[in-house]
Amino acid sequence: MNRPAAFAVAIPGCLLAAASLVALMLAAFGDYPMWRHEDVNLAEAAGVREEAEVTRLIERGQDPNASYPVRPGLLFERPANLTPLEAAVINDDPAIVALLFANGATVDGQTWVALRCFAGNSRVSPLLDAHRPAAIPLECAGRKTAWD
Amino acid sequence: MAVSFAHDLMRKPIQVSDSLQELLDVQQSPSLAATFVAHSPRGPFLRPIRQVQIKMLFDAAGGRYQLAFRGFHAMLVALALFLFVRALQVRTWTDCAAAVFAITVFTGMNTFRGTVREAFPINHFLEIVVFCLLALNLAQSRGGWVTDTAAAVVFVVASLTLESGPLVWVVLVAGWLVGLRGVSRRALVIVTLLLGAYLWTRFVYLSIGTPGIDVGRDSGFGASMLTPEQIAVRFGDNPLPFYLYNVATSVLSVLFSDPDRGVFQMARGWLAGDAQARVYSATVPSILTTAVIAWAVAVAFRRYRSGQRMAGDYLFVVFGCVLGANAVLAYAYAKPEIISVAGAFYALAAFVAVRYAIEYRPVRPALNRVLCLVLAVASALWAFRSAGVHHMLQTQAFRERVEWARLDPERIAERGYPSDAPARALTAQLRREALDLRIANTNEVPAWADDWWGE
Repeated sequence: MNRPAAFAVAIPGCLLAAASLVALMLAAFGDYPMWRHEDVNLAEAAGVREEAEVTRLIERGQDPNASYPVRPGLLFERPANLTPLEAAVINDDPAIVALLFANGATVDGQTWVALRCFAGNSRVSPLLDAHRPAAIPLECAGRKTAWD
Repeated sequence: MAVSFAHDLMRKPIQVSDSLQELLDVQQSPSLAATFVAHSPRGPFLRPIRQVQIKMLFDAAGGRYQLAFRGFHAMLVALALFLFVRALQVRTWTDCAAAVFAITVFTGMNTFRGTVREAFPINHFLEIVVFCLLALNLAQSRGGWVTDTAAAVVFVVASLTLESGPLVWVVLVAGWLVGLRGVSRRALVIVTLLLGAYLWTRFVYLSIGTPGIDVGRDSGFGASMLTPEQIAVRFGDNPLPFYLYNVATSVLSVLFSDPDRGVFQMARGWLAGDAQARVYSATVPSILTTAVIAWAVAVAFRRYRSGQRMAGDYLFVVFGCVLGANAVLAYAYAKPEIISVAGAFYALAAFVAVRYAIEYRPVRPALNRVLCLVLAVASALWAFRSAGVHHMLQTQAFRERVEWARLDPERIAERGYPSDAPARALTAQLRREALDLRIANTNEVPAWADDWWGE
């Protein structure tokens, strides 16, 4: 047997098998490395483009108009307190913004202006325009958002 | 590794697009017999047992459909790997090293990736791989009436499951031609008669024919994908060049992992100035492995002519037969799952070739270094590709969960599904099961994973 050739052939596959074994052992403790799943609240799901999770949480009764704590590292480096709609607008995700509006998310005049100013010409702007509260002027100069 | 893939598959929802209609069909069907009759034939296909299997599993699931169908899928992957390893007939440490390589080839190839993610409630393409590997195991066995009966049963079930099912006959005949006597001559004659009966039923009695360019599937040509309409416009008058193209590209896709689905991905990348890592990570190990196989085949041929044999050289012949037959069966449209049987047998041929390479001792040290380097690069890239199957399944699971989230069970009639109360209840249950799965968010996965392992 040509030993160097045998090692060259076998080592990568053996490493893969060992890694698979370790991953399965971690999975037994709920921490499979390639299927790392973290429980999120509605605002966090909206902020990280988890459309299916947004649907599931709304159907399980989470309020699309409530504020939720968003952990550091998901949208900002610091903790924040956001509504799902704010999180989806920050992430510029039209699918989730539409989903939230379709499931009862509402915005008052002041929040709408804040979100619309933040959105600028992004992909979610047309959706926000379609849900503009009546008689609200859009004045962005000097405006700060709740998460600024 | 089988358990590792099974773990992923159990977290993958049943798919909406290719599976919901099938499940609603079997729900509406009153019996297995009714299902068999209703699905023989259907369009240009003769696959009655395919739907019967779905019906059987559906009825046996006891309402736990995710567990039943994904569990069956996981079991098929485990069975395929078991039969594959068994066919290698590992006896020595050299065999063991080559077998490790062959498993990564089998699971790293585009054909396996395309097959393992298949979306039907039961993965029938994977079933055909299992049937063909089982046929090889039977041919390698000591034989007996049980083996002979099993060969006939496997052929019938495979042939009535998918159009590629008759590949079981190809494996048995090729095995016989190279001296495998596990399946007796009498059984081979019976299986050949059954093939004749299948062809007569298909082409004469039922006048089904075969799928043509009107089958309605996208297929690659050159550097781009063509829609069914584009295929009809370009090849409607004379489909033969298109069929020949599909056969040729199917062979190349097994030997070199490019083209993929009929599209020459490397050429497309060059033309578009968009060289993709995922294409090179597939083609480079394929080219190296095919080169090693070609070298070993040349040596085996020389030895054969001088009256000597290379251990396991018969697998080269079986692989050649399966590759040719499988490519011909893929004439209508190119798809990795259709050519997946040839992919499995390519990995068997790779085993024999690499085993020979391990035993080979070059006279010049420089040549030995080159050989080791080639084997090391190929082996590392195949293992890397194999690891990518997990990422692919994860990405697909995430997408499928979104598909379920977008489906309103009360409005399935708008999508053309049956919409009575039981159908809506089944859809709602499948949707609930999909949404309740704990699936990682692939939007949060590093971009390199998609660059190297994505679709």
